[in-house]
Amino acid sequence: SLLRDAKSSKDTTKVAEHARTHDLKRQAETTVPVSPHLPGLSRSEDSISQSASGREICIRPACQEFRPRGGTAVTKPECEPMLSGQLVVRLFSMASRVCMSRGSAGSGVIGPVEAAIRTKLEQALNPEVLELRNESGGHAVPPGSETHFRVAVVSSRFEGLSPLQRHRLVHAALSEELAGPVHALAIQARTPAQWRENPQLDTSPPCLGGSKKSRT
Amino acid sequence: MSGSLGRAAAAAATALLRWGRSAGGGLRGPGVRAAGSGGSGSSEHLDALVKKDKVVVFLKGTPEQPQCGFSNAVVQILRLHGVRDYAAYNVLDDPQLRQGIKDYSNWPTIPQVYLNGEFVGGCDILLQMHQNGDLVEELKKLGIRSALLDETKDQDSK
Repeated sequence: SLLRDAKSSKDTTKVAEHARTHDLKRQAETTVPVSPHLPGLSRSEDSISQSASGREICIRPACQEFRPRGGTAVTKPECEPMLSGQLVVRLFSMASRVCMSRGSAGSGVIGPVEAAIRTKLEQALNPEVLELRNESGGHAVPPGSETHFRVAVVSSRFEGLSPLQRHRLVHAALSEELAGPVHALAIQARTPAQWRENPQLDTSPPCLGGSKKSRT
Repeated sequence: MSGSLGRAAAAAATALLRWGRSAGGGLRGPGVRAAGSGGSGSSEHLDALVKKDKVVVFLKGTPEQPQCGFSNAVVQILRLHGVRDYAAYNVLDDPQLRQGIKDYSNWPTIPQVYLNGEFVGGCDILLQMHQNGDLVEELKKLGIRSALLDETKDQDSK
């Protein structure tokens, strides 16, 4: 249905209504980062303080609007020329991959561990961008687990620190979780400049069964 | 590091690396060393382990049969660089080792990579080093010539 919306984005009624109801800020961009919004994603340089839940947003990543959970995505008319057909397809496939894997093992619910991780990283690192994904659903653990996470943290506090030092900072903030339920944490720790070069939460390799895999 | 070598080789290699399910077979050399019984998690024991070989990794599973996608990523990266002779310890075989190495490294997760007795990081950091060319350099310091250097040389000469 997302794809359908994109194809029908030339539908003037929907687009015009969208343009009318939102105070849209034109973004001058030379590059379009390929990164779907994740709920909770915030970009400080363009605060979206007036975004309300339930609002439709533009799928173009550079267009800085929140994606409300369960919200639909259309393309704003100004953004449409900047989205090539290929990019749109890529965005959607990435978004669906994200949607399938996010939330507590795909159920869409944010569990207590995920919430704690987010809070602690925000407090410890004051990140510009924090993208967090519960990847437990892709591993050999029960549904609803909060054991495997992937996080991208963008913070100027990482300036001048080696990758090892950056990761240790993240670990320190999450020592309780890592001593407890979380036993996999994939980390992308970037400075703001590094993130702008490639603003994208990677995907993790497929699970190979862990200790539950039977030996042949 | 952004020389053409690093970028071209890493880009090509990363394409191969794309989380394909590999049996990890065809490896010659990396032996799964037995961690030893009794005190296998002690810091003295682990200190000896990480210094005994130039390249030491702690995995879930073995290089031939990794049992974790992240551990497999480490195995595949080493394979891409043609690193054959490295020590691989399977933490799933030994709970003392599994906890011990986390304490010793002060690192909460597996896999863990040691180069020349020094802790390098986990899968994310090794991947980053592979992509930006640092891994080729680090291996060179250990006297290990990355296979990716030879691949690129072949390409250039065609």
